[in-house]
Amino acid sequence: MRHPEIVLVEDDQNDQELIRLSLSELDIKHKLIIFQNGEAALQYLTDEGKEKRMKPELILMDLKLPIINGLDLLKELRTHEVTRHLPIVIFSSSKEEKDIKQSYNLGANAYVRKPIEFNELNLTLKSIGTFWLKHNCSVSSSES
Amino acid sequence: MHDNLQSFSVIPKCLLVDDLPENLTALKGLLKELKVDVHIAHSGTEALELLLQNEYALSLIDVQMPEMDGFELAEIMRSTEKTKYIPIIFVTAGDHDVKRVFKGYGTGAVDFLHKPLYPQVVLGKVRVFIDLYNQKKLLEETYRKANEELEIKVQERTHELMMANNEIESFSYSVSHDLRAPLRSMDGFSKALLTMYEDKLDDRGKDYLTRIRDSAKKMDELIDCMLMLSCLGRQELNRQTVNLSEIAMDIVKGLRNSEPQRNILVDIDECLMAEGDPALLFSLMENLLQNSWKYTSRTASPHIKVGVQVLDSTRYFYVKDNGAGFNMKYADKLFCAFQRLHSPTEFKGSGIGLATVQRIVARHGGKIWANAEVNKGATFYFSLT
Repeated sequence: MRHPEIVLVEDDQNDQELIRLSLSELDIKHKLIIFQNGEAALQYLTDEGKEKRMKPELILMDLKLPIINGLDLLKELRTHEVTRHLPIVIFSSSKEEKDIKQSYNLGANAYVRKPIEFNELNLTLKSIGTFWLKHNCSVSSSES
Repeated sequence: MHDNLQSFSVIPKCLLVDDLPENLTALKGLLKELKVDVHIAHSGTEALELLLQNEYALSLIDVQMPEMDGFELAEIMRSTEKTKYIPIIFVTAGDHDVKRVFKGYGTGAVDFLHKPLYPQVVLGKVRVFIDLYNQKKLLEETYRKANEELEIKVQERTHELMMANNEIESFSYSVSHDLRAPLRSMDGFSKALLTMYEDKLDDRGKDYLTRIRDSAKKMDELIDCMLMLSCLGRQELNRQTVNLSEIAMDIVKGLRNSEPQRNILVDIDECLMAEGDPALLFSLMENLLQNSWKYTSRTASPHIKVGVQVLDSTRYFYVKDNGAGFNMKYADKLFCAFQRLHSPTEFKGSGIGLATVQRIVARHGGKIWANAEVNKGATFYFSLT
């Protein structure tokens, strides 16, 4: 069996690394697929040719992204048949009410503030994982 | 002034009405000396036609004319909106003309010239009216121009203001999104070094990394403060009647719960009613009371009082304490963001409490000031209108 995926849409390479680090500390063994911009993520996620492919268990995305920003990507994903029901968690630095409201209006499943502190980042990702990932701890043995 | 006049004004028009061509020629010749455009009419009817087509600064009308005489013409002029105010100089042959009652005498300027005409007298009288006309035109023009300029200025300012608002909005958007990411890296990678390379770091190395992490956290708080302040200026006001006494009691209750060991006498006047945004007024009172609470922490028998005082028919609410106070010399720095009058080791604080208070008061159109003495306490007064 293949590893279930988490798709991360994040343009900041440092944040990518920190999230990867945090997920590994949390022992989340999902395959982390990273996209730097909304367009690439959209292409990957809505590619119907890969229908047989396992759908990602979680999409974690930033709001401020190059080419297609987070809100537009969200809108697109919610209109596509393939991605309509995938869990999407917005993971952004912004505390602005406008960002939060718009995200929920466009169909985000959760808006989680990306914390500054690494300890807090760990806790945050842990709670996201507990809630949204089906194969939380069981996957590690099924591979290799 | 004269230059100005020349730059825009057209030459004033003057209408001469007489049935005798030689009189018209003589008068026209006389007026050559003045800067006027002379129009002539040989009868009252002809004059009325010209009056409808042109704007005259002055009319000289012969009283004795066949068909329509000068007074009849004048009466028609006075009863017509367009010609009502054109000054009239009647040219008369003798006193008996003047005795006739002229209706509409009161409406516009009227003067008389008696035959035989003396050039100096004619010129003098005409000049007075022409000057008056020119001055009136100049004033109108100046007024029109000033209005136009004002309108343009208002448009410019409105545009500038909108641009500035957009700028602030995109600035704070960028602050909330971009300015924090580097902090996450500072904290995250320092933490990674501390855990993954623990055995390679001595105590000093660990201390430095901890300092980096503390600084990142501090900067994150500063960003929060900045965004909060800039948001205060943009937020829409939701004015209603608010009971400041109840708000103050709620806040004090919270403060007492957070530090139950402190024994502070708090005295809040009842029914302090104010008009304002409930959320903002809560924040205002919270900041002032937190300050009083904080700065009485080293006072032997701390006392906080909340009340109202009327000065020059304006109501000023106040929060008074007998705490650390401050030197009035620095009073103007009190309300600046990130400006502190106490060291962080003495009393903790972010340095935006009073800046927040000041902005909230300003949003309500009120005033705030403080009275204080070192180690005797401080009183903050504010109005909300």
